[in-house]
This record gives sequence, C-alpha cells and structure tokens, in this order.
Amino acid sequence: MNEEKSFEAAMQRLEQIVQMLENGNLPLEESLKIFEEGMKLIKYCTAKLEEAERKVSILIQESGGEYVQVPFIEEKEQGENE
Amino acid sequence: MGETFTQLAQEVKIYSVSELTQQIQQLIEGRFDSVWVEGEISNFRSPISGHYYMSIKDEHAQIKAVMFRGQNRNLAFVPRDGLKVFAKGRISIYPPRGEYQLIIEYIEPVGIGALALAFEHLKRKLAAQGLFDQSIKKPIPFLPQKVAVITSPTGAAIRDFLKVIRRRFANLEIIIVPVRVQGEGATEEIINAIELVNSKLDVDIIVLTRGGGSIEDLWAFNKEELAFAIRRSKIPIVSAVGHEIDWTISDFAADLRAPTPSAAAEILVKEKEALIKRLSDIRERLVAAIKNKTIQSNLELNRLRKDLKDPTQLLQDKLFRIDELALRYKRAIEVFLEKKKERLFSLKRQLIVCSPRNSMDRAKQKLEFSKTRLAAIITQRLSENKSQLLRLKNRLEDLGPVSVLKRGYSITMRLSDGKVLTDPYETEKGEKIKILLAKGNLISEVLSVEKRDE
Repeated sequence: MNEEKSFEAAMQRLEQIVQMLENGNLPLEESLKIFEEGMKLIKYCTAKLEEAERKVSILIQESGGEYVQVPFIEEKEQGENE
Repeated sequence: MGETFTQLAQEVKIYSVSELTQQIQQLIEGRFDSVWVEGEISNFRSPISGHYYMSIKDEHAQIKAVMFRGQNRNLAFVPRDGLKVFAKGRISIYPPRGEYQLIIEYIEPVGIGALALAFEHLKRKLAAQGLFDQSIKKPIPFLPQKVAVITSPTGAAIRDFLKVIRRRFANLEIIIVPVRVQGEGATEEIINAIELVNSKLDVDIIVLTRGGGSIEDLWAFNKEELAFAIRRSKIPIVSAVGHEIDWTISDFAADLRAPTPSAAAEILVKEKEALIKRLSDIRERLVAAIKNKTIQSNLELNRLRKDLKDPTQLLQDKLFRIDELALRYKRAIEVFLEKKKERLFSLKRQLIVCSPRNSMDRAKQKLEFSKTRLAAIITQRLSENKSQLLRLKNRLEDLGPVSVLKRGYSITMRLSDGKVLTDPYETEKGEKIKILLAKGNLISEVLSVEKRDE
C-alpha cells in the first residue's frame, strides 16, 4: 500500500509536471529542472512496473512433504475443451 | 353437498359470503401453505411495481400466480411465457374477488434440479450471514507482481490464463498451485491450497479458477466450506469459475469475481498496462512539452536578441528623427529667413522708395532748379536794377549837387564837422570852411559875416 501511495504520488507529480510544462509559462531553467524530475519519476515508475520477474512455476510437494517450485511446462496436447 | 345441509334439518347454517370465504380461506390456506407446483408460465407480466404476475398452467388447468418483488430480486433467471418451471409457494385467497392464487416464493426453470436448488439455498444462506457483503471484500492489490493460481495444471483455465499473460507481455511471477477442480475431494484440495498459499507463499493475490462445465462439474466451487475458506484467506482472492454465465458460491465469496479465466488474467495485467500506457503518454507529453519549451525559448531568445538590437535601431531611429527634425528646422529657418529677407527686401525697397535721399535729391534738384531760376531772376533783376540804378543815377546826378555844382553853384560846409552851411551865422570870423565846387574843393577862412537883406 505504501508502495502504491508512493507510486501514485509519483504519477500525480508526473501529471502535474506535464501540465506545468504544457502550460509553457515556466522559465526555461525551471522547465528543464522539472523535466529532469519528470524523467526521473518515469524511470522510477517504469522500474516499479517492471520489477516483477516474468516466470511461471508450479508448486509441487516432494516425497518428504516439502513444497518446491519448478518451472511450469504446459502440456500441449491437453484436452479440455475451450 | 346442499343435500347434506338440508338433511341437517332445522338448524340450517346460512353463511354470509364473507363468512364462507373466510372458511374457505382458512381451509385452503391452511392446507396449501407450502407447495411445489410444476407448469408452464403464461400471461407473464412485470408492471412497474416490480412484482411478477403470471399464470402457471398445464394442459387442463391454470392457476394465477404472483411473485413479489422482494422475492424475485434474487432470481437467477427472468421468467417468460412458455417456460416450464417449478414454483414453490402458498395458495392465497383474495376475498374481494373470490379468487385464489399462488404466492410464489421461489421459482426455477425445470431441468436445473436439485443442485440448483441447493445452490440457491446455500447462496441465500451465506448471503444472509453477510459472507458476500461488499464491505468485507479485500481490495485487489495495486500492481500485483506475484500471483498464485489455484487450478488444474492441465485444465483449459490455466491455458487461457497464461495465454493472456503471454499476449500482454505481462511480467508477472505466476505460481500454479495444482488442485483437482472437480470430483470427490476437489473442494478439500482447493481449501488446502488456499491455506497453503496463505502460509507458504509470498504472493500478492490468489486466482481461483476453472474452465466452463456443467453445474455438476462446477460443484466443487459451490461448497459452504470453500466460501468460508475464501473469506479466511489473508490474501485477496479472485474467483473465475466456469463461463461468463456461470456463477458459483466461490464467485460470490471471493474478493473479486472474474467472468472467465482469461478475464482474471486481464484484471491482473490491466492496471499495469494502463499505468504503462499512462507513463508512456506522460513521457511523450513531457518530451513534447520540453521540446516545445525549447523551441519557444529559442524563438524568445531570437526575439530578445532582436529586442536587444533595438536600442541601436532605436538610436538610429532617433538620429534619423533628429536629422529629419534638424532638416525641417533648418528648412523652417530658411523659410523664415527667406520670408524675413523678403520682407526686409520689400521694406528696403519701400524704404528706398521712401528714402529721404530721394526727396533730398528731388529737393536738391528743386533747389538747383530754384537756384538756377533764382540766379536767373536775380541776374535779371540785377541787370534790371543796374539799369534802373543807372537810370536813377543819371536822374539823381541830374538832380544832385554835382550837376548844380557844374552849373556853378557850390556847397559850403564847416570844416570841423562837415555841416553844410546855409546860414552865415552858423560860422564866425576866422572859422575855416570847405567849399565844394564842381571840379574840386576850396579850403578857406571866413573873413566877415554879412547878412543879406531879402
């Protein structure tokens, strides 16, 4: 939730920055400053969005009773109707 | 029946219509306070009140029926004419009309059978316990990254689910928790899986899913224990069981119901996709805006540069202006001077015309003329006078002593004072006298004075 808050805050700041820039009333120096800030925020948000690992595994109980995750390989010939 | 009453002789009971109706009501309503009836719906209508009115009929009879709004709200289907149904309700007499009707409490299409009934029953029961309340549902996490999918590893559901995830290029970590999704013990496996995920896996969300099937196939998801297990889960659960039209207890109990396994996958990636889209939009706008700003700033810079150049321009303008003014001034002065000069000239001319020298010249001329004239006159006069004088001299000479003297007369005067003497007593003896003669003078002495007697 905290993460969501900071992410949402970043997004909101981004929207604000875009609007400020689009209004075009800011002095150039200020514009460049907030542009840089915006790019940093985009980097942050993009990283947040892409930080998850893309993988599919399946949880299997071993003979000892322990659960392990192993990569999931789809059974191509599988039969249940779609 | 009338015969029976007649035979009861004198004590014939005569009912009022109300009394009779009341009796019938008691009898009938007491007897049919909960009945199931099978028949076909006809003359169905649902006025604004929200109640359902219909007749339920078979080949030989029909009965009027009503289902009040409070009841029909939870129906899983909408009744229509021609539909064969089981209806459960009570018979009610309506005395003002002398009519009876079936007050329907529950109705279901024929064919769904006992499972559907049980489902409806359970659903209502759990709903009454507040298990499906929106208020107790956990929010679906923002940007789920790690997902546990409780399903059959060989079913259509996981295939569909993964297909969407792949297509959307969603970077999600998915852990499949394999369970049987139908048959004996399936519900228990599912419940265990939920508990296992809650205790062992650090995931953001659980997806409980199964492909479509008959009501029997889906039955593992219509169990009370599952509903409670779902509510016990600390991790939010998305339920996606069967096709879009299928609803299970699991769906109702879950924090979110997805119509299909694919839809469940969509829900997980949608937010993220929306955010990615929003981010890329923002990036584009940001870049465009700064580009714009740069262009604008450049334009402004150029403009400022131009403005900066302006002072010289301005100065030049001013100089031009000054030049122009000077020129005009000069011209004005020239004109002024010219005018003055002209005036002066004209005055001068006038002055010259009126000059005293002129009049002096004229006077001089006049004078000269006068002089000449005067001279002429004077000369003339002179000569006239001269000649007159001469004449006068001549006359005078004629009249004067000289001519007398010439004629022998003389003039005696005392020598001492030159007094002409006419009386001899004006002298005395011995006095010297001068006697003027025509041709000279005599100085003589008086010898004696003699008076002549006249």
